[in-house]
Amino acid sequence: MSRDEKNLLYAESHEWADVADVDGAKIATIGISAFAIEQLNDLVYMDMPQIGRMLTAGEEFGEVESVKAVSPLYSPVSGEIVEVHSELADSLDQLKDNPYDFGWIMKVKLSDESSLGSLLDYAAYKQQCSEAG
Amino acid sequence: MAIDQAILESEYPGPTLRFYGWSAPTLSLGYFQKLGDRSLHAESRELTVVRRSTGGGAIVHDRELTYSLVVPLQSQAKLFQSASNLGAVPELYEAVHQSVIDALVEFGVHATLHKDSLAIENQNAPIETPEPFLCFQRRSEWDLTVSGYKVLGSAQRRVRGKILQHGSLLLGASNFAPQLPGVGNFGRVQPTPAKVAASILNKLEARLGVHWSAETLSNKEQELSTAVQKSRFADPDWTARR
Repeated sequence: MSRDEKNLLYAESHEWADVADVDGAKIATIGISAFAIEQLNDLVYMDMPQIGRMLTAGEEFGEVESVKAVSPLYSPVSGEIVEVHSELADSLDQLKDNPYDFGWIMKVKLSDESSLGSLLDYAAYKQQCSEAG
Repeated sequence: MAIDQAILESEYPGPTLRFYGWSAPTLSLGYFQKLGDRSLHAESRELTVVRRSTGGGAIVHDRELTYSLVVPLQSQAKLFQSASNLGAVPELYEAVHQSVIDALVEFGVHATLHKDSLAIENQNAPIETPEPFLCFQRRSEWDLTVSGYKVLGSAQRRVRGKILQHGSLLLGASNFAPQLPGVGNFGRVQPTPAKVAASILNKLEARLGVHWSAETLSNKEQELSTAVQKSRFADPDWTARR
């Protein structure tokens, strides 16, 4: 099943979150948006987070090296990292073509849903991207 | 480099430029490079090694000038108005590297941006993979070259609203990287680090529209740099993390 970008939530820092109920827990799948991937231009390395780490919304969880810059990745949600997409770091060339399915980075079991309220819906995120040029 | 990081993480609102040398010849790895790959370069094998926070290839810091520039993007909003909040800020590469081009003219060296020295059809040539171990054997569009040799390479690290740009200008060929000539091999005046730094500082002042003043680190920056040095650059685990 393919993920629809219109149904995702977005951080201003360009990470997306797909929140679902799994066995009574809220699990957010996290990645970076197509806009971000295009702006970053040719990702060459990605530092993946560790399973079990607790994150607070807005906290740095990884880093990417693109053409001539290292940039941080920020968690859009608070909770515990329960799964990491281990194949992604070695397959960054596929990220551009498939940012919302193959491009997921980690799954976070939410500890606090309040951070979801500050995320943008698709329309608001698109507006932010168009203002950024 | 710990001081650079401390300035990046401090709340100082304006741009900060530093020039420095190294107390002993040192190999710095790009942030994502593997420590084991230093065996690819035999001449620098005996040197002390550190891992930078910026990416790119390894640098032999010996007969060179290192600079760091921290810029809160808001402080230079006019210059960086087209900069997105992601990835590299090419305007900053351009400002620094054009300043270095102008400065080197005073030493009789005519450097060009790599992107200007290439035929258009070659600019989109695929990047060699894996890329060479040494920064100065890699090429990207903002690098400065003289007679085809790269003499200045820079790399950026972003944090929220701020950017750190590190760079290295080769002044001469090092015994630990004899395959890489520096600007002193091409000019009519032997450039000293102090003279080159003074000239770059002046040129960059005009390009960034700032007035530099000599400052010392605040107590907070000093404390932070000590902590960063301990937890990162002087920590063998940081160096060996990849």
